[in-house]
Amino acid sequence: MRVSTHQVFQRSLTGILNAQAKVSNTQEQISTGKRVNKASDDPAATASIYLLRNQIATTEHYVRNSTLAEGELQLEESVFQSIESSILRVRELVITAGNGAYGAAERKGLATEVSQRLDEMLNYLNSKSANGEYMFAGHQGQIKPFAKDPAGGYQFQGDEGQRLLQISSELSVAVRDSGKGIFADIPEPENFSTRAAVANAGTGAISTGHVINQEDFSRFHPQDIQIEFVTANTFTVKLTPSGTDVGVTSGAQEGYTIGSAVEYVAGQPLEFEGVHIELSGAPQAGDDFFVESDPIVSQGLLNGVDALLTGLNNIGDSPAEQLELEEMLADALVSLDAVSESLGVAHGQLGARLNVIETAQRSNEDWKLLNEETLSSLEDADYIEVLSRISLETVALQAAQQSYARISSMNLFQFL
Amino acid sequence: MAANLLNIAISGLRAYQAGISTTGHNITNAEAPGYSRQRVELSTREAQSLGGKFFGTGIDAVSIGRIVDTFVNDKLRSDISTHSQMETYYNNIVQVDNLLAGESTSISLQMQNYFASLQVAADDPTSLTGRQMVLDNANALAERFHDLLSRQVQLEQGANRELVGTTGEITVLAQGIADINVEIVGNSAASTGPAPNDLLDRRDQLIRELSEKVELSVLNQADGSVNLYVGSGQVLVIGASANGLTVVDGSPDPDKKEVALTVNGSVHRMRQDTLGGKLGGLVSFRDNIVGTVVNSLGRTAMALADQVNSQHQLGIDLEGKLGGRFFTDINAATTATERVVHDAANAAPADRVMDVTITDVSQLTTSDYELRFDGPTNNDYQLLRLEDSKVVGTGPIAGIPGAITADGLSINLTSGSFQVGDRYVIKPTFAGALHIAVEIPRPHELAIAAPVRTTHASNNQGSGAISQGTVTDATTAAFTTTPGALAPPILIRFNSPTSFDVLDNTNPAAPAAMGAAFTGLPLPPTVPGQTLPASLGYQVEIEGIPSAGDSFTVDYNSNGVSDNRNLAAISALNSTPILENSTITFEGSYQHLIASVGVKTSIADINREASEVIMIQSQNVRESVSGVNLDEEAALLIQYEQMYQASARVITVARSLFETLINAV
Repeated sequence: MRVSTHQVFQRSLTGILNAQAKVSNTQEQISTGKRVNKASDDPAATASIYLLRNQIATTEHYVRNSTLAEGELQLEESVFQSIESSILRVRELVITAGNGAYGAAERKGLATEVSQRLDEMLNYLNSKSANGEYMFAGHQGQIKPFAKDPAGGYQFQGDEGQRLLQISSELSVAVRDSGKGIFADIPEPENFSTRAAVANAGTGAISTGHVINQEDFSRFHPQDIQIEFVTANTFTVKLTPSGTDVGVTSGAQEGYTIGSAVEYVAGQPLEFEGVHIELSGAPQAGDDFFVESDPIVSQGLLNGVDALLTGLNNIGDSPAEQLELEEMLADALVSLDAVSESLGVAHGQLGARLNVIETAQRSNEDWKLLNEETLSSLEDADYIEVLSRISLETVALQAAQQSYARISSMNLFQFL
Repeated sequence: MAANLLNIAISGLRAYQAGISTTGHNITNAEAPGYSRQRVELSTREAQSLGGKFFGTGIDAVSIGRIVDTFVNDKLRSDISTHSQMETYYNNIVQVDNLLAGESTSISLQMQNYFASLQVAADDPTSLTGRQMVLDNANALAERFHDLLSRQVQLEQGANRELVGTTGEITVLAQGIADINVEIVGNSAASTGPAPNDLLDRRDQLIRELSEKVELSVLNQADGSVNLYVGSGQVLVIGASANGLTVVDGSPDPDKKEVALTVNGSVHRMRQDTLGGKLGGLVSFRDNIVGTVVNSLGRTAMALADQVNSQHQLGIDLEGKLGGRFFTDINAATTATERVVHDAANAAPADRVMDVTITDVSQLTTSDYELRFDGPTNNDYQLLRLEDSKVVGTGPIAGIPGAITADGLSINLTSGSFQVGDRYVIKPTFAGALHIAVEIPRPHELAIAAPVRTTHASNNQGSGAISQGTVTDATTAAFTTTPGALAPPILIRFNSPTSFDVLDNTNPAAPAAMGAAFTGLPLPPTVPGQTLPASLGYQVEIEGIPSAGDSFTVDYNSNGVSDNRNLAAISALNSTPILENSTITFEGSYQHLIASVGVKTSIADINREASEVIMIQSQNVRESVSGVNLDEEAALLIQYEQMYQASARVITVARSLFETLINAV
């Protein structure tokens, strides 16, 4: 083919320019370290690159949230531990107060410490988290959750809100616990009330009674009992409404078997299912008396300890008061144990959450690393490949330049 | 005899002198653009018959010819048009490609920052710093939308300016070609002899320059002139007269500038897809790329604003007030009105009052629409989706006021009348990225908390547990009657483990019945998730087995400053597929845009390179036919020089012959 001189020069020049463009493009990949610098460099990879970047950013939020959640929960855990040790100390004091050798004066001494412990507990229950919110107040983080109302009792003033933080795409974890469930809604020890049927014909009466074995009674609660006089001198003790006989453990004559009638002796104490009552007067056949479980009411940790404090301060040394003291101390123990139990449950949940966070944290970090590796393989330049490419391209450029010089000097006119 | 020999020698001298000067012309013009090499046509003179013998009489330089191949020139011209179109398109789209994916201009990164700031605020709802960060990042996101949009607008304006400039150049070039036509026809007519080679080269070169700007068809005339046609056969140059190109407002959308032909001052519209060349590249970039990018950005911005607003209005702020709009309302009155563009050619009276509101962002497309009233009666309309030319609505309008709905849009016809032939362009998304702005003035008003909270009664006997509650509609009477309180707060009281009543708990000492719809409700609910009557605007879930007599309350979340439920819900929007019928997320739609522009750019790049290779091949073919090769010319020069010397030598011989004769006498 015939070639024009213009074409010869133009071709060599185009060759040089193309080689330069390639070198410059490769140079950009080297200096940015990226193979894909704009979407058109590799449209197919671009979509994945953006997806991966987004996922990495999202995972970073999760990692951050996990760290925050861990911090909050660890703080809460340390408060739990402090409260637990306060409860243990008060429990010791209750047991000490039960010492028969102690009189009212000694108990007053103990009360001083109980009072201090009460303040300490109140302080813990109103703990603030790192950002100044009350930890146990639910959603109302700027309102003190536990405060003494003018009537004298401690009231929970927050709500049951729980703040959740997202720690993975499918997982949110609670970073707060409302004080209501753990410290306020602690059931008072189960109790009962007694009454005589209105239609009773005799003069029989039933005492208010008290719980002598809380464990037995708690198991029995919330059932009710009917005491029915079969004759004026004998009665049966049965569950109502099922009619099943209940074993009487005290006051029954020798040889008593469950299901048989019990002989009535006025004023004799009667004990069953942890309950202690006395029947007195002259009942007649067909008269009924009832021992009924009270609905459970909440008392809460602070009110429980407050009741103990009042008791230690006010109960004297008379024999009647001694009985009252025993029941009060027993109630205090039950109440403290109930708080310990609910605290234990909350503590357990908290530990479980910390475990969940730790697992999520690990999987988040693995996921992030995996995404980063994939991202890198998609968008990062492979230096070995790029460097060998650029040396090849510079050789090509040099060749183009040298051939240009050679060709431009080839001209017939030089020989004329 | 000697005289004859002298004449022969002189004819040789003349012919080879012409050859030498033509070669010289070739050598000096070797690098002149558009130059075609010339050759002397040599021809033996007619012989003289003397005594039955034919004696040669020498040589003549008959003409100087231009070596061209018309087919090659035509091919080159059309290749130049194609390449110019591809290159213009590529040079523009590559800017969009860089902008969309660029770290400092991309929406993607700022969108991530915005949603990250929501997470930070959700971690610590009482912190004003965290709240302020949300507002700052939201503002920055809105700025990003504005910035990216304004760059698209600049590109569009740039394309429009270039259209105006290019049409001006085309008009000048067309006039130049018409002028050369006149000269060529004049020259040829005067001498009927040799064609004016250099003039033809100049015209070819002008036509090539012109074809860079617009695609041409060329028709050679018998008198030596050429006629040029553009578009679908419109006359640009015919003989001595030239028309011009100009840029006019489009119809029905005046914002869309169009290239038109002006013939003696009157404007003739052209089909914009037939332009080719630089004009074609500019128009297709402007209409296909800028339009789509602007609409797609707008749609993402609108969907974000709409969804965040809806959720934000279901929350309460730091002061316990119900949340307002987070971003500007996407259906604000002025915005809704400017979505309709009236065709200037619509018949009077121009009394139609219309606007377009978005009813469902998940159904929005990135297309513009054309609403046309094509008859037969005045109220018969057709709604055409321009992206895929699909009719998405048709029929007579139900009446005025009325509405036409399609694709998540509601075209509201408020008043006025329509006539057959009326046309409107509906642009639902074009200004979406412009109008996005943060409406919350203070960080306190960020609605992080949810407006309800639930409580279980302390003495509940069963295992029933109530969820924290969710709000489905904050515009119900329950929320609007008394600001900052639930009207009424409710008590859920179980009659049995599977049935409960909802009571008015305004006076907790004496909860009041609320009517049949609130009595004896079942647990589990008949419709899953609908524990409470929908009319309340909020829902709770109750799990476990409540005992008869157990109760739960739902109240306003007063002082609920530590709650982050509503912000968590806003934050979840980031990963919720919303657009395209709930199949892609906000960010997904932006990435989709980047990828689609990326693919188009890479295709444009391939097309540009391919068209360049083809054009260079054609140029090479032309060079190979018409280009000057200096070595060749040098050889010719020597050849002609030797021939000239030889012819001169013949004169010497003639003289010595003559002298021989004289001396002999």
